[in-house]
Formats: sequence, structure tokens, C-alpha cells
Amino acid sequence: MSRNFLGLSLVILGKLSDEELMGLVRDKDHQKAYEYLYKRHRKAVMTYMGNLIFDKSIVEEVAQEAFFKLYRHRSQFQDNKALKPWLWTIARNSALDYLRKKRDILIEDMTKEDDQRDAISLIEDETDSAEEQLIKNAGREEVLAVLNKLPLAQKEILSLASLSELSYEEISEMTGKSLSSVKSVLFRARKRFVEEYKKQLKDE
Amino acid sequence: MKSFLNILKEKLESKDEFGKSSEQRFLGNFKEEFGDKNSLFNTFQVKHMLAACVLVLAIVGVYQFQGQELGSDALASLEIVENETMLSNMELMEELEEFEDLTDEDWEVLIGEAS
Repeated sequence: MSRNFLGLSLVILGKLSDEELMGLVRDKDHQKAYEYLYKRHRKAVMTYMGNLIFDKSIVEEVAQEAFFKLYRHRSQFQDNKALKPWLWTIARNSALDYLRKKRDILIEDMTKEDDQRDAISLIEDETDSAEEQLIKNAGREEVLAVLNKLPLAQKEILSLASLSELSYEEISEMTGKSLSSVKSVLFRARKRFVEEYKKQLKDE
Repeated sequence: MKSFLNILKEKLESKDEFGKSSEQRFLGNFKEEFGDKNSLFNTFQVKHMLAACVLVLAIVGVYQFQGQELGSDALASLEIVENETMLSNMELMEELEEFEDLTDEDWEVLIGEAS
């Protein structure tokens, strides 16, 4: 009996980790396993790209190419490595490559180092639940509108950190920024986000 | 900060802007680009089922041709042949001890997949 068909049925595939699925894709060229990976991460990756590239049809195209790239390079996947940082690096690079080609934004805005003053201690402060409550009550469209008011570097890293669920260390590694810089940008982004949201509430 | 990021993620993903149609387009393009290695017709099971059907039809044909009624032994043999695929599936699944965890929804997916 084909183990490919039954032993690793859809039900079972759904219970495998990203790394186990990617192992099957690499070793067995298991396309169903790849479909699972795609379905698991599609929404987050496309939402992230949608925050950078506004044209939906382009987002779809760029996301597709990123997922194709991951499949084409499946042989390079290493057992002892997590899949998510690799996937998100490919997704981020694909989005930035598109933007570079389009030249419709200043990429250097996204890569410049921010002031790291006090950032590390402040970003680890988890106490401000009032701010979080404020955002909890916001609608999705409001959140998107506020996000779009942020400088590109802040918007990008905030989207990446929230949607990818990667650790600060992983984000630091994939973006090539220092850990303190990642934390600094995130701290500023969060602060600016709350300010802009409050401003928007006042205007309404 | 982590909880702020979680709230933000929840908000941003609360609507699937691209939807299932985008997913279908991707899967279609993926199969076009890389071939469909999981096509049902490529699977061993479907070949197995087709072979069983051909065998059943052949046996029925032979009996009809000979103008004989099917005896109880012949009917029992046919039933075994017809259910061979399902029995093999059950054996394999039992070996893998995967029955214990399956929910009704899982069964639906499995049955849907096998049919």
C-alpha cells in the first residue's frame, strides 16, 4: 500500500511540524506536505507583503514566487534548523527585491540604523496593558490606516515581528540588523503606532 | 511587547484579504510549474482499486458468459476482492496506530481522500 497516500494522509500531515513537513518535501518531494506548509503560512506572509506592496495582484505574484523559491531550494533545508526564519527571509527578500525593481520607495529608509537610546530596556517593558487594550478595541481598517502612517522601516519591522512570530534574535539575523537595533526600531514603532492611533481617535 | 505584537497580528489577520481563490490559483500554478506528483492517478492505491474493479468485472463477465448463477463462494470471493483496498487501508492504519486519535472530521477527510 502506498504509504505516501495513506500513511501520511492529509490528517496526519496536518499534525506535523514545519520542519517535519519540509523534511518530507526535501526527501520525498512530497507536494502535499508542501501544500500544507503553504496553507499554514500563506496568510501571514501575504498580509506582511500587503503592508509593503499595496497592489493585491502584485502581492499575490510576489508571494507565489517566494513560495516557489522555497520549493526550488528544498534540498538546502537542514534538519537542525527551524523553517520559519528561512521562509520569512525568502519572503522579505522577495518583497524588497520587488520594491527595489519598482524603485517606488527609498529602500535605504528600511535599512538605516536607528538611534538605540534606551530601547532595550524599554522594549522589554510589558506593563503597558492600557495601550494594548486600546489596540484590542480598534478595528482592522483603523489598525491598517495607523500602520500606514508609520515610517517604512518601522512599519516593515513591526509587521514582520507580529506576523512572523519570530524572536528578536531571529529577526536580527534575517534582517542583518543588530539585536539592539531591532529592539530599538520596534520600540519606536510601537510608540509611534499608539501616538498615531490616539491622534486618529481625537480627529474622529 | 510580545502581547502587543500578538494583538497586532490578530488584527491584521482578522480578514483574509486574498482568500481561497488566491490559494487555488497558487496551487494550480504550482502544479503547472512543478508537476502534480500527488495526482490520484499516480498513486498506488488508485491503481490497486482499478485493478480490483477490472478483476471483479472480469469474473462477473466470465460467469455471465457461461450462463451460470453466481454461487455463494463466488459471491464471497467477489466481496473480498471488492473490499481488498479498504481492508489493506485498515491494516496499514492499525499498524500505524493512527485510529485512536482520529476525530469525525479526520474520518471525513480520510474517506473523502480515498474515494
